[in-house]
Amino acid sequence: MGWRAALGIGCCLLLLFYVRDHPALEAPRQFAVDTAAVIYRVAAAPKSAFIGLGDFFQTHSALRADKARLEQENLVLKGQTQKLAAVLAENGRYRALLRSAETLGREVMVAEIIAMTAAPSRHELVIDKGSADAVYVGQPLLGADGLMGQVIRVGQYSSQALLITDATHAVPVQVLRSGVRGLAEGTGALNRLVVRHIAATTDIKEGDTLVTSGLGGLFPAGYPVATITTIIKQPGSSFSQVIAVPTASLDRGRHVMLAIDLMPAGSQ
Amino acid sequence: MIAERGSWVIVGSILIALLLVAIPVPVSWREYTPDWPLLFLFYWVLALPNRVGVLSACVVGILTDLLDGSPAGATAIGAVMAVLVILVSYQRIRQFDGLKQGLVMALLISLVHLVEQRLETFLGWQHSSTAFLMPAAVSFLFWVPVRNCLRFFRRYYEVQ
Repeated sequence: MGWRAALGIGCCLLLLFYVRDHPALEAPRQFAVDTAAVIYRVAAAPKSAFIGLGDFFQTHSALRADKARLEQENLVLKGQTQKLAAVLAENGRYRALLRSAETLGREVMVAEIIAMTAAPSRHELVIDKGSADAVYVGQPLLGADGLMGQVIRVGQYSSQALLITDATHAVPVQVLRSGVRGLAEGTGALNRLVVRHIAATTDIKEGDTLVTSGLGGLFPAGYPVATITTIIKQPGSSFSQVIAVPTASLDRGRHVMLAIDLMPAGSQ
Repeated sequence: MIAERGSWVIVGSILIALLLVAIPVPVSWREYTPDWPLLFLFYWVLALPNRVGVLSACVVGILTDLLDGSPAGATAIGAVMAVLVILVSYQRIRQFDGLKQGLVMALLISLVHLVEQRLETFLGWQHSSTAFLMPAAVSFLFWVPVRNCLRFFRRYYEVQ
């Protein structure tokens, strides 16, 4: 019994501190991610079936109302896209005037959320796209209303992503209005980010929108991240405490978008 | 030597425990779900200490780690330690009534989570609160039902 326990603990320590990031173990790691995804899928099957059943038995009038609403939304979005094209062209001319490099556009790939992982202290999602769909570690995850997180583990047919609210996550941001830069860190609560190292004299207000600054080279610049809710300035402290709420609804919705980097490697 | 049989019941119950972990719950409820794999594992160790021991604990620990995205092995080390405690004193623990057994199990589960948390902190994970001990408290409430249910299946399928 004693030697078995020693063997078990020894193996685990080896796994934890040496073998974990070993490149030779890429295949088993991918297999583990995919297996976990299968388990989450099976566990969520009753819920998905229930939702599917609800969708199937939707009434004709509800579907028509939905269609009408979507058509309207589509029209509005189309109108905005036309404006966007004009703005992009204008932006391109300005860039040419300023002689700054033009940033290439980004494409997105839609992935379905399978589940949120079970560990209560972590905010991670399991999504249904993996290395077979060219998903890579570090790929930004976008929701309809803003940045959601990044991919941290990739399997062949599924992957796991860390949300921006996880206590280990930080994203370089910029105040949209004034351009002040900061670092938005997760707190472990789904509706709360803190922006650290903001000097008390900085131009920053409650209600300001934070967007990704593009620094660090991981996240594309300009995506909305959070809205500032509270700024606490303590007399005597040289930094103010800035709290923000993420713009993306992190615990709702069934789909996310993965940003596909169109820039050639090393051009940033 | 008694012939071993009914391994599939043990393996199947552990798989069911893993599925129970993966069941989608609202985010705010996640802290209040019991630690199914550890509860199931502890039952089998207590019932069949000659069959389910530290190596099984290691395997179950690594499986839960892989499932919830912890670094593989963090839970397993704690699970091995806890199972070692049960193996040393299973005759005594068997004499306890349900509540007292539940207390022991909750203590062991909190031990597992403490070890896991310390190891993860070494590896650069950050834990901001003591909320990770909540599953241990909830598992206390679930010990008696889990034990009775698994005992029923153990006897029904004559696992030994």
